[in-house]
Amino acid sequence: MNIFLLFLLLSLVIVQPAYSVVAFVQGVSAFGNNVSSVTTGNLTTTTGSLFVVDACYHTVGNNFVSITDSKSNTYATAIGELTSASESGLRARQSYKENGTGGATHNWTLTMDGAGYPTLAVAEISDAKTTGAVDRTASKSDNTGTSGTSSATSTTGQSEEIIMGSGCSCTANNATLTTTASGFTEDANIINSGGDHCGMITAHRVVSAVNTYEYTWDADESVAGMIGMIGTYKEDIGAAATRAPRKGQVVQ
Amino acid sequence: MRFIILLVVLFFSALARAATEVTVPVTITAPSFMTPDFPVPDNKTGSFKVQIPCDPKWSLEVGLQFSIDNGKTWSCDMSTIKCAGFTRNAVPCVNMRGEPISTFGAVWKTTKGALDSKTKMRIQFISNMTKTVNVTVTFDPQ
Repeated sequence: MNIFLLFLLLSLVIVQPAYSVVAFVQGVSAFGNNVSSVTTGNLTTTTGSLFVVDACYHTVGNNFVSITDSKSNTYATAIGELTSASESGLRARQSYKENGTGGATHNWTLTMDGAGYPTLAVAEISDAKTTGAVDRTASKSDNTGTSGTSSATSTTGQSEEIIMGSGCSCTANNATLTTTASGFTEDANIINSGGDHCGMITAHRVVSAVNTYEYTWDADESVAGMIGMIGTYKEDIGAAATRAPRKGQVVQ
Repeated sequence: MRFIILLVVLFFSALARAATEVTVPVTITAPSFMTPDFPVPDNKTGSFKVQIPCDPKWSLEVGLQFSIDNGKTWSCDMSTIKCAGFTRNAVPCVNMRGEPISTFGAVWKTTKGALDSKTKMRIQFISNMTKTVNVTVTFDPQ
C-alpha cells in the first residue's frame, strides 16, 4: 500500500506540467501629432505589478525628456534610446517599473522638450519578479521593407518569463503592422499615418522554456527604418509556486 | 431570402462599427476653458481622438474628462491630477516631414475597451489665448 502511494506521488510530480503564472493583465496606448507630451487614458492597476512601456517617437530636432506615470513610479531603462538607421528623428525605447505602485486613475505620460510625435503603449504584468525582472533584451533599428524583427535575444536565464515585443515606424504613408511572431498575442496596434504620427505594434508571449526569442511583424507597405525591440521579464517563481495555473495560461 | 437577410445583417453590423465623429465650434477662453459635453456611444471597445485646428502661436494643455453617470460626476480635474490628454507649445504647424498640417491632437486606446461604461466626455483646456475653433471628437469602435 505504501509503495502504491509512493508511486502515485512520484507520478504526480513527474507528470505535473510546467506552467507560467506571469501574465499580461491589461494595456493602454496613446499617440499625438505635433505635441510635446501625451498622456494615456486611465487604468485601475494593482500595486506590485510590473509595468512595461514601449515608446516610439519622432523628435523633429527635439529630445526625449521622460516617461512618467500618475503614481510617481520611477521607470528604469530596459532598452535605451534607439535611433532609426534611415529615418532621421525616429527613436524608440523600452522602459519598465517593477513592483510598481498601482491604483485607480493610473495613466502614463511621454514627454519631449518640444513638439514632436509621441506614441506610447503600456502593459501591466502580474506575477513578475519584483526585483531583477529584466532578463534579456534585443533590438534592431534598420528594418526596411515589408517586415521587421527585433532580432533574437540570447538564451533566457530562466524558463518562466513573459516576452514583450514591439515594432515602430513613423514616416510611411499608412503602414499597418501585423504580428507574425509565433505565440505572441497582440496588445496595441497603432497605424502609422502619413508622417502625422508614429505607428507601433506591441505584443506579448508567456513562455515556459529557456530559449532565444524574437519578435517579428509584417507591414502592408514598404517602410524604411523601422525599429524592433524585445525584452524578456522573469516570473516570480516563488510566488508562482503558491498558485495554481489560471485559465488560459501556457502549459507546456 | 437568406442571402438578403445576411446582407441586411452585415449592413447593420458594419453601421454599428462605423466611427462616430462630432465637431463642435467652441470659443476657448484663456487661461482655462471646459467644452460642452460630448455624448459617448455605447461601445465596449475602441478608441477616441481629438483634433484641433493648428495655430503656431498657440500653447495649450488639453485634458479629457469622462462621466459614467450622464454628467453628474467626472473622472478627473487637471488642476489636481494628470488627465488623459496632451500638451503643445507654440510651434510651427508642420508634420515630421516638414509639410504643413491643419490640425493637431491625439488618439487614445485601451486594450480592455476605451469607451466601456462611459456616457459623456468633455475637454478641459489651459490656453495662452482665447480662440474660436472647431473641436472634432471621433469615437471609433474598431
